[in-house]
Amino acid sequence: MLKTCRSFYWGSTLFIAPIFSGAGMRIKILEAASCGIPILMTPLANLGVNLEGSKEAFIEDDISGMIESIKKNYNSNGSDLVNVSKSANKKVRSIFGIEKMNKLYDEIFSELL
Amino acid sequence: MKILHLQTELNLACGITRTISQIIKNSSKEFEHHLIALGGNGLSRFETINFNPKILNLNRFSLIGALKIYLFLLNYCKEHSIQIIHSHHRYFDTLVWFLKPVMKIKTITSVQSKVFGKKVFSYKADKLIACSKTIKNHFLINLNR
Repeated sequence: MLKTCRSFYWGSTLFIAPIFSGAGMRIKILEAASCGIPILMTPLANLGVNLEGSKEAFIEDDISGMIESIKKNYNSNGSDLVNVSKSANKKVRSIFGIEKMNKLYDEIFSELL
Repeated sequence: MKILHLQTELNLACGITRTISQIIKNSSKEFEHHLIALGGNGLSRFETINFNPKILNLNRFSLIGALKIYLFLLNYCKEHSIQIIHSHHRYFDTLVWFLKPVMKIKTITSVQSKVFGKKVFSYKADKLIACSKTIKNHFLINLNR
């Protein structure tokens, strides 16, 4: 059984998340961003993460839009991919970083008693 | 301070499982963490941090299963002097709500998703932790919390 997906993230050029149903925080998006992989996703995949379209991720409403985005990036020099992945990585680490999460949880636990 | 985490399943491809393991691994030493789940394939996440979750092989969807889980939790909390219960799933949030009248305990529920149904029985914890502003806004608008 696969114990971690990290090697797949690190070996990939683009993380595609065509999510059209369900709700909730997409930890897979956070994981991809923290691994420094540019993300192409639907608005639903961005739920809770709130990456900014074009600047921090490629966001498309439907499959045809995603195909066009893949083609555009495939034919580009890759600078957009690098910039987008760096921005997403920075944002995700600053908002959802483990240190920040643990500090908040510790505060909440202490507050309750 | 003793904290009991509750999750339905601990799976490798599950962000909540990952989050729980990170809380246990990195939180302050003043907290003693306990974890109860109903199964899953992600126990290896906890082996790596030398932590043994308690796994209950009970069917949460049956009334008898739910009752058994409830009674187990009641006994476990008393036996281990649990002070805080942190539910990571709506199922346990509801179950723990029924524990409150019979024992002195503080409760937290982490909320990862938008929910619309079963409002009467949902999210009764003393403290709700929304995973994002989107979920927080959803709660404020739709559940008036």
